[in-house]
Amino acid sequence: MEHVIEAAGLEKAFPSHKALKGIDFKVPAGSIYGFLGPNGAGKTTTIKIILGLIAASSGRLKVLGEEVRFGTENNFLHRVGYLPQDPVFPAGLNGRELLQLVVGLYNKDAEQYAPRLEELISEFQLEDAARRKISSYSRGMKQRLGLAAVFLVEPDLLILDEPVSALDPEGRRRVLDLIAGLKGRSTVFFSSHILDDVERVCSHATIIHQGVKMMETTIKELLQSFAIEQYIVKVAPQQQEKARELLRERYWIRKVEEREGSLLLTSQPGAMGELAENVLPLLINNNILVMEFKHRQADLEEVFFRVLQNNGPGGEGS
Amino acid sequence: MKDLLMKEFKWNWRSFRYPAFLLLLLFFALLNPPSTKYMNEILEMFAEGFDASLLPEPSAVEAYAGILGDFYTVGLLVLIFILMGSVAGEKESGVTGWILSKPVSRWSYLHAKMVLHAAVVIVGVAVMSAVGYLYTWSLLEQVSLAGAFWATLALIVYMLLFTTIVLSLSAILKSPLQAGGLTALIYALSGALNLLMSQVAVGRFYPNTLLGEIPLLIRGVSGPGEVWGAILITLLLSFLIYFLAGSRFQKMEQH
Repeated sequence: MEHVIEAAGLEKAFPSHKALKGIDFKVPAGSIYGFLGPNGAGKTTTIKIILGLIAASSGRLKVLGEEVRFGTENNFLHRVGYLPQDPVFPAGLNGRELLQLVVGLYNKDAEQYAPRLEELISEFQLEDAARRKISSYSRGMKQRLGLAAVFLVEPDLLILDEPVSALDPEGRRRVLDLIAGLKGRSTVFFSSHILDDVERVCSHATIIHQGVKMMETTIKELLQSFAIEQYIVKVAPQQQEKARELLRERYWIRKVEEREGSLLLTSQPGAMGELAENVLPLLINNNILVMEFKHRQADLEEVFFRVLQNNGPGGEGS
Repeated sequence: MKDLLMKEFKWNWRSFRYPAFLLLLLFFALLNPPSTKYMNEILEMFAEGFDASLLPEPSAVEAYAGILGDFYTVGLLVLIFILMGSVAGEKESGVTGWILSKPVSRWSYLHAKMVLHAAVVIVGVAVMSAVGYLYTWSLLEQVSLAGAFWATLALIVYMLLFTTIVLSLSAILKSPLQAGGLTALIYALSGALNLLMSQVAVGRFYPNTLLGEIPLLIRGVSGPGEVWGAILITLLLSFLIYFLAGSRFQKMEQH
């Protein structure tokens, strides 16, 4: 099977608005596929249609080679694991019982899966929490438990909606490594707002905005074409104006702004490397005292904005 | 379905829903026989000048009928309250969506709840009715065993109807409050409608007839022949309500 998910002309209209306006995408088998878009873009609606939880108004959708038909039994769900953005679980259970329930719901052999269950409890640092009721868990713990539940049954397709949004940096790194390790073995359909996360694990991506597909591409191409980086530079106050003028003239810088006594530099799309390499030598060679120089994590909002500018109505690409 | 049954049982047991229902039935089973037996003495003790000899002698039939009467009034309302969020609460919180994103059919999801709730009602009412029966016997005298059996069966069937109604409404309505409120309204209206139904011939098949027959069955005035029709119709009605609600649930989006 070449594509694990194939969506064609997918539309979804709610009484108050149209959430999807005919989106198409194909998720290659074995890929880690980013499904990106700002809040309200239609990502979760698409995911719920894929899982058969809500009906598409029109369009066609195939998951793992099977046509998705709302209101009928979808056999492909035996091969799909899903983590919602804010995981909620049946009340009254503790963490271990929840994982045992998942094994049962997938008709897996409880004894055979017991060692893997314990392994994942340890992997996701839930040893103590596994005995406690889930209602006492923090959001991060619920997310770790949800991930353990998805990984437990080793599905062919993992659908992860903002899977690391509630984790600390170390937890985030470990989970992203686990996801990256699935490449080639399983297919991961991954939605995120964090550019670094997408960049680290995804090979392909679709960007949607207000229910319309803006772009379907590889991550490499996306970053080259649209991504920007931002750096914060703090110089001696009396030299700030001079530094600002110097930097403003460079072709690899799109914008120089003042932010709380520092300068916020935004690169031109695709010129992140040049900015990182050249800023310090330029300032130092011009005898400007640099007190601080640090990277500012860029988010996807800027990428969405750029894609929208190019591909949206009236944009360069329209 | 075994896993869904276990999940459902753990939640209802640990959240004290089932224990509360069972303890309430036990309370009525243990309260009625002594309160019936000693009611005249109690009244004499607290009401000055009261002549207990004017009142009829307390009877076992009266005590046992009181137990079953409390089961279908207070017990049934508590049951509605306990079950009204069974599906609607999970829909609201997103748990239904989480479960249905697994290879679980919507019917299996509903069946697990229906089977478990029905089992708790059947076993709970039967056991507590037996406790009440034995306690009544030990304090007063024995009530006809056959009469008690048929009265308990009629009560169980009636309570199953409302278990089905509240679960069905919980599946198709948005909030637990809507499901509970509408079920309580149906309960009240069904009682009012009973006045009309008792005037017509087909009224003997009306579910509330079962409640009217309970004291008669206990006294031995009425027999199984008088309630079979209503039992059958009530069971068919329960099945139909569950089927229609389940079919509607199949087509409902889980946001």
